[in-house]
Amino acid sequence: MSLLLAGLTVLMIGDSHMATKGYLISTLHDDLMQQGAKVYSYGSCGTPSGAWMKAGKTACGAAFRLNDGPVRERQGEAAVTRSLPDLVNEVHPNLIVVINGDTMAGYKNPTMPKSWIWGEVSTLTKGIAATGASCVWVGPAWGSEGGKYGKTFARTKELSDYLADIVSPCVYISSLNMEKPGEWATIPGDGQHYTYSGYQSWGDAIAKQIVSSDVLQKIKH
Amino acid sequence: MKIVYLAGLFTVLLGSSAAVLAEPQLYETGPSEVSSYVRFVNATDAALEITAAKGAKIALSAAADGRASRFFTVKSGVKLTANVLSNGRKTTVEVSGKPWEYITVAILPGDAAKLKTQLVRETPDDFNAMRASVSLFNLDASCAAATLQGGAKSATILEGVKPYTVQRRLINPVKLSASARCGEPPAEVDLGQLEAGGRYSVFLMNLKKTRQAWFVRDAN
Repeated sequence: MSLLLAGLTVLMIGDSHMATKGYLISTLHDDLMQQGAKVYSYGSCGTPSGAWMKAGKTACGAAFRLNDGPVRERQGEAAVTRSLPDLVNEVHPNLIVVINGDTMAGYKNPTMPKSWIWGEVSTLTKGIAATGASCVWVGPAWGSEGGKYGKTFARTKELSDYLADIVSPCVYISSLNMEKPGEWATIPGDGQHYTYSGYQSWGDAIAKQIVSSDVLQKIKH
Repeated sequence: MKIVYLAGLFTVLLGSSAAVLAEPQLYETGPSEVSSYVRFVNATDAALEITAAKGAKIALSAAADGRASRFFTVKSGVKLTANVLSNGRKTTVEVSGKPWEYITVAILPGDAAKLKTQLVRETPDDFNAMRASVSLFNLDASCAAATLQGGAKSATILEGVKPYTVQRRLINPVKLSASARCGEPPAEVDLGQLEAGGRYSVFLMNLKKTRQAWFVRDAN
């Protein structure tokens, strides 16, 4: 139990790493609950940051989990994203956790689309700033090189470094110090999504970073 | 007993490193389309109207706060045409952008018969949410190297900006009064309190042999 996290309401939104049972919507969500927080998680597969500012369909599935309830997955027509302002009005979070990076990396493109990423990220950070809630932004993890998304360590590092510059007022949490490149196993042929043990390790490491983050010191209980 | 055994096995599998999770459908990790960004700037002393091929119209005034349009997102590589009209004079401009390029279409006084246009291109990579990005656009053909100075000590922010080019620099988000210089006298411009993450364009231009500067906060 964390004295700083206990009693807080946490809203987590994220991409595919949050949109399947056994991914961070299970592991990180459990970790934050065990630290005493009320946690509401929403995942939207394939979604870039700016899409969270309005409701819409997702590219490849969605999931949500309300505190100690089960993970509810949605596919096809039922896979929709609720907007951040809508979720904030319902949940009233003290802390918003954003898990987003890989969906904007352009792994198969020779250059990273910086101006597009800037537009996506700043659309969401302006929306978060307007809510008055504190915020942390968790960047991409190493994963494995290759796979069907074309992930590379170099682009992952480039994206993580870039996100560190552009997610303010959110506090950036780099995932790259949590493992050695390629250390946690990914799904064979995928490269981007971890096996259960990988998501356990990643979730534990993120929770540890959040608990020790200065951002919690600034939240009024 | 069999049910209990299977449930136990399931628990063991979920907790083991070998547990196989559902795999998401493949998705793109980037934009669905490569874009460029185009804006129009009125560097004349009269109001003007820009009409795109599809009929959309933009009106730009000759006052500092109405001289620039926002950046419009366009498909990269596609040639776009727009007609510019001011006081009975007109011209046509064609624009095609490289991937993620920002293009400023400057409309200049030209001559009695025709307006002149000049494209200023940049592909910035200095996006930063903790600092402010300040740029100087030199729209004065007679100024070979423009300088932007600012702050209490008139520090040089940007220098050597050639005609119809732009330079950009990240600075701390402070209150900024600046001078766009090309010899004397300088053209003063007050940008006020800069915002972290804000992107600002200062334009230096020459109207009727008088240099003047104004600024706009870039917007998409």
